[in-house]
Amino acid sequence: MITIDALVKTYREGESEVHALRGVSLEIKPGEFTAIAGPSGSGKTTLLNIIGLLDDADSGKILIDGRDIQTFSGKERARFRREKLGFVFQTFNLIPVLTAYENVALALNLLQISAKEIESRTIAILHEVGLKGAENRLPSKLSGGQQQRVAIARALVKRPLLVLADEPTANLDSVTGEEIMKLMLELNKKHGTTFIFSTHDPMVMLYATRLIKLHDGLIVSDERR
Amino acid sequence: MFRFISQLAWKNLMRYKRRTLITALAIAMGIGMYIGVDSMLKSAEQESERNLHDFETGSGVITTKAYWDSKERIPTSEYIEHSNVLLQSLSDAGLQAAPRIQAQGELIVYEDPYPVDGSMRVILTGIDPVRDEKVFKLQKTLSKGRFLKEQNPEVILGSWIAEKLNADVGYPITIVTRTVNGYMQTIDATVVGIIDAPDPVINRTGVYLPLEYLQEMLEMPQGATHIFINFNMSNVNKNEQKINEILLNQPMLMYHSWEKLAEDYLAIAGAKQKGTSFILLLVFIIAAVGISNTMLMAVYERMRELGMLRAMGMEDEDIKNLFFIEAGLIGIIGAVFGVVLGIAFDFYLVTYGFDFSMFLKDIDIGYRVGGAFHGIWNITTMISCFFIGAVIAVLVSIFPVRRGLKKTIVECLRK
Repeated sequence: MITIDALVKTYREGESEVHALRGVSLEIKPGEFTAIAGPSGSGKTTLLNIIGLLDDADSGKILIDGRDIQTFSGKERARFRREKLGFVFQTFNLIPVLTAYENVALALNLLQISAKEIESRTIAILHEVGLKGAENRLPSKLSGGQQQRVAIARALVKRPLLVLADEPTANLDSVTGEEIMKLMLELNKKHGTTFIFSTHDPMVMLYATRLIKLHDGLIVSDERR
Repeated sequence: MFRFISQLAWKNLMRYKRRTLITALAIAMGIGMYIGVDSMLKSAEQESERNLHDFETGSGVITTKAYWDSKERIPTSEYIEHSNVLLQSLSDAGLQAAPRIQAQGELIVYEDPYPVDGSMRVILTGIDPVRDEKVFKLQKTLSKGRFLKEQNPEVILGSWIAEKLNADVGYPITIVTRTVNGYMQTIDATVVGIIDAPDPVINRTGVYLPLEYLQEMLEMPQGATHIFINFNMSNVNKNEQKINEILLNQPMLMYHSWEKLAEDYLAIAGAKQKGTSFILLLVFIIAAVGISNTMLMAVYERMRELGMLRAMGMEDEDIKNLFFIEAGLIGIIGAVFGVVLGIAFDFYLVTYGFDFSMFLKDIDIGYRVGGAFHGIWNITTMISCFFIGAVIAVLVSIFPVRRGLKKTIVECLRK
């Protein structure tokens, strides 16, 4: 269970202040497939970054599994991200010198589990995301859709509590984008992993089982489907 | 984790092969140059000290205090009287000694057999043909003619001075000098030999006459300005103590070690060593700036990747280690190339050397190396250079890596 209470975040841009989040409160239940939608500058990415412990809120509280993540030290934050969170970015952010297999295994290498388990889990998830046969390809030899599949596999291989995806289809064509959304939904159903993703694409919103709309840093609608 | 980080570091280096190679080559050039120049300087120092000992200073010298106090103007009149008595005492103490006279003079040559009339200021050295051999190796370097005979009006010349005068064996020579009593004295002598010593100072300035003949000409019978001593350098203190005991009853005389006698050379060699070290330090700084720049570029180019790794939960310490390993690997690659380059440089120096004799004929660079500058194998320098190269590479990467890690994850991902 993720509980967000009165989250406020303000950026300074030169002399002016940008109110990215102005008191956002919401609860996300385990296994939800939630889309945070809204136009550019509405606060979607800021909200995801704060939930993902990549950024700090100015005020407010976030409880994940009953733990106030805002109070974590730097090391605790790194550990929490390593063990409990998976990230998918719109630019994929794969390590270019590592193969698809190595990119996925990287997440498990950080957890320091046995080599055997790393291998079996990595192969399994790569097959699950449809990359059988592409394990040894470098990112440069993969299409955009395949790269995003690797990124999804990397986020899911550690069996996280929560996957945060920031505009996961923004860099893909509509057909590939739809395939990625189907894949994410399928994995959400299969593994019960909670997904929160941001988007401003109406097609992507259709896949969400819950749609939260943000505007100027405030929730303007919260719809469960 | 370390294994994984090391593998990732290696892959990153291979990703930018050209940049890695260029940076490693900068380090290699610095290290290779250092090894080569260090080898050449150490060899030049060793050879200089050997030549100084064998041709100019011996292990030490006895002079009068008055001579030593104004030695720069070669005050022949401040000579050691009854040098034979002192030589006997030294011999009784088991020390090898040779008397010499040094005096200023003007060497004059006339057209036929010389191409033109001419003169030059020289320092005349009177040597005892028998005793001199016990201290110096001059006789062994005779390249033409014969060595001096006692009491004869004859002279042997250094090869470069002979070449400059167009002098040859059998040619007449006139020397104008002053006796110790201040009278002008003209010496007509014949060139009987040419010496080609490994010490450039001897070849450039050497004008040697028989000691007894010069004593007579300078009105200083039995006198010598210097008594050079040769002893085993592994027992310096004991031998110096013996000499000082002999001199106890002769307060006018004084013993000086070869270092005192070669003070000018040692000062020049020291200054050269410092100058060369400074130049080499600059070379290392350039190499270090190269690595620092490479790492700065690596950090900035991979900022998003760095953000991703941090987002995935990799701790800053591990990311630092990743970049340090990359820098260390560049350093090691550069150091390996550098040591190989240094070995090749050393091999050339040890086998062939650089022949600067053309320049050394006219210019005194301080080192007593006459022909080719050779090198010596110095394993300690090679090992220390290898480690210094690798360590410097890691040290100079600290700043760019820390700078990269100062950014927040969000800033990194936005790049």
